[in-house]
Amino acid sequence: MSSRQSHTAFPYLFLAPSLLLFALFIAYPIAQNIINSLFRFSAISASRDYVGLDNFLRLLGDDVFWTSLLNTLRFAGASVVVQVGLGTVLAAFLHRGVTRLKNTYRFAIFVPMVMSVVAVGLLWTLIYDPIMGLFNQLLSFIGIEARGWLADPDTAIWAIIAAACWQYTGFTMVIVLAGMESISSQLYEAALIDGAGEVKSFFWITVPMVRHVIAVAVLITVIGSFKVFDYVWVMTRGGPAHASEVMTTYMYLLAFTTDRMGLGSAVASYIFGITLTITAFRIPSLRISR
Amino acid sequence: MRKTVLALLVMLIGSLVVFASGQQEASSEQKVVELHMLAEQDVIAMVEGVIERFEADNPDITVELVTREVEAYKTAIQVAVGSGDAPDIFFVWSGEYTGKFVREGRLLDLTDYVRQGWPSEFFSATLDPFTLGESVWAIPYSLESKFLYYNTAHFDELGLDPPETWDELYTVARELNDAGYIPLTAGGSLGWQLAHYISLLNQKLLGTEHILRDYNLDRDPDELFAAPEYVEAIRMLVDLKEGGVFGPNVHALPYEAAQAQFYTGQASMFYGGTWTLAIWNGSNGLAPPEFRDQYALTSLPAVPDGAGDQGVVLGAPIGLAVSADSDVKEEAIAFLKYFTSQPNQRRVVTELNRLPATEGAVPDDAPSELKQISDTLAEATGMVGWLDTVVEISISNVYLNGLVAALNGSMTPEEVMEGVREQAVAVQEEIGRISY
Repeated sequence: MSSRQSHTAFPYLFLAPSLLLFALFIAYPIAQNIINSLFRFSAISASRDYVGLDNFLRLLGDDVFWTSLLNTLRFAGASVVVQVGLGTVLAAFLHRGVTRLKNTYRFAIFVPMVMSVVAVGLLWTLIYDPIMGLFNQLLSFIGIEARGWLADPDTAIWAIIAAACWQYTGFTMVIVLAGMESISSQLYEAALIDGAGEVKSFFWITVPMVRHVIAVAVLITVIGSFKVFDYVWVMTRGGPAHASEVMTTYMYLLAFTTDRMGLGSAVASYIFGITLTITAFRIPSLRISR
Repeated sequence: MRKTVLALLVMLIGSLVVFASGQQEASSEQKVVELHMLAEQDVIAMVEGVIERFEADNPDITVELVTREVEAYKTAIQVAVGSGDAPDIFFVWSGEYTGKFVREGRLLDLTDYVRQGWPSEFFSATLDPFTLGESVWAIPYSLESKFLYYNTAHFDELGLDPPETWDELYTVARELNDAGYIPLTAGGSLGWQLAHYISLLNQKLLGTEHILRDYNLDRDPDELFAAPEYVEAIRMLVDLKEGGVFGPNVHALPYEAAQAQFYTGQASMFYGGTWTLAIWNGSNGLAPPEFRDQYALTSLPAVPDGAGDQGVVLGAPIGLAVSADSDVKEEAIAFLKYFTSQPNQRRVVTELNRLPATEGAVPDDAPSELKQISDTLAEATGMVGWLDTVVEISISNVYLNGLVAALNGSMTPEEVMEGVREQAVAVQEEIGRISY
């Protein structure tokens, strides 16, 4: 082996362990899942039937699949607006507006993040309880009638999204705030001399300076929304009657509850395809923005 | 350096040899039986006691108990059985739940064991549901059934008798509503709660033979679930809400909230399972102490013009199956024999407040509710199983979700049954008619 050859091979030697782990724990399961999508089989069955793309096509004709996709998109859209939008505004307040007890506010907004999702789900299930829930009691003060927010097909998914936003807005805020704190204060001073108020400074200095951080937060939030399972499972199990079903819970339902492993795998393949597409579009644009 | 490496290698190989021989020695002496059950607090305590006594009598057998919550259990068993790593003994519901394991050849046929020298005699109501074809596939250890619990204080106060017909249910409900009580409560946000009403209403309207042919997909595709009575049964359920028998927000209620409405006296009736007795009055019972003297039970009211036998009650046994792949089949059977022996069946009654699976196990000093249940069961002319365990799982999933949707008004009864029919036809195409 020439020294030039060994020089080229050397980095791959260091990469080998992580490549091996990647192949074993990421690439292989993905490939296996896509293969599983092409079969009809039960988890307890020794044999399986090859059905080609039938599972994928069946899902396209399945109303519940479309409901789950729509709910997942709702989850992603609302999470971006609330978690990233509100998170950025809160970060701006802490960055420029709040001067006293800054760390206390930061801690208070961030603290839901350290709780387990299951605990948060159970907590909000109690808050939304139609009989003894805090939410209905608060609404009764302003004359709104009590209702089962998680049992109503029109409100269930939004009630779950609200719980997720309550927990994760603080996380986005901390990421964006970290970006804001690296902005030079001279920019704000110059803007002030030029007559710009805090609102103008926010839109013309803060947001452009942290746009790459916001883009990362959007990416994390969207991908997180496509993977969301625990909130829905704990709070409604996708009910009532699939009204709050998201893609992951539907995947679980098909694979493990109704024992259609091939169909469940096909849902997983769709989730993979969608998130891969989003990531593929976003990552190059992130690089350019830098 | 080289010496150190060599010494380490020798130590490593040595320890592996010692470990392996130790394992071998242990496995040749000690047989380990893995037992998987549902994580129910009272049941775990009782089963642990049984295991302890069994191990004392059989020092060469160790029984390892693993428990999980219902949903986690269903998934874990499915994956374990599918991957060839099934526990030696595992909990099963009767009907289709057991049936799918049987169809895939995953369970040990227990017929010969049960017919030859089993230490106790099973009720036919508990053994028959586990007998598919000519063979017995699981050993029942308890019978679960459902009854209409009613608050005797409310009924006495208003001079009411428990309703015997569906029309009387409405008459009683009017009086109870006027007195400010919720007449009947249910966890209407959950499909399985509603399915229990439908399990029995289908039977009352159509008869056991008719519904079993549909449940087993034993008809031509265009006839599956086609009887208009299926739609009628769902309409009767929805009418309970519209007609003020259920409370107005019944569709939003979780199971726990519905039970709480009953045992705190807000609601006057609750269609509950025998397992609720332990939840209400067990060692960590949720109900207030005075509740114990304030309820009685009866059967769900009859539908007099229905084609089915009106004396049938809803219920099914629960049992334990042995994996066909188990390496310790004889030890597993020995444990099951011990588990269902008379003293342990009495513990099911006294410690769990549940019905036993074998004859003569209800002692004279059993709780009065259990005696009342066994008397009501003795009067029953038959038993029909839970819809969500007797119907193929993907069909029951469509059915149960449809019931929730019908109650909250987002689907009509006709739409629900249309969905059930479509799924039934699709499943019949996949697996054919169900037979053993």
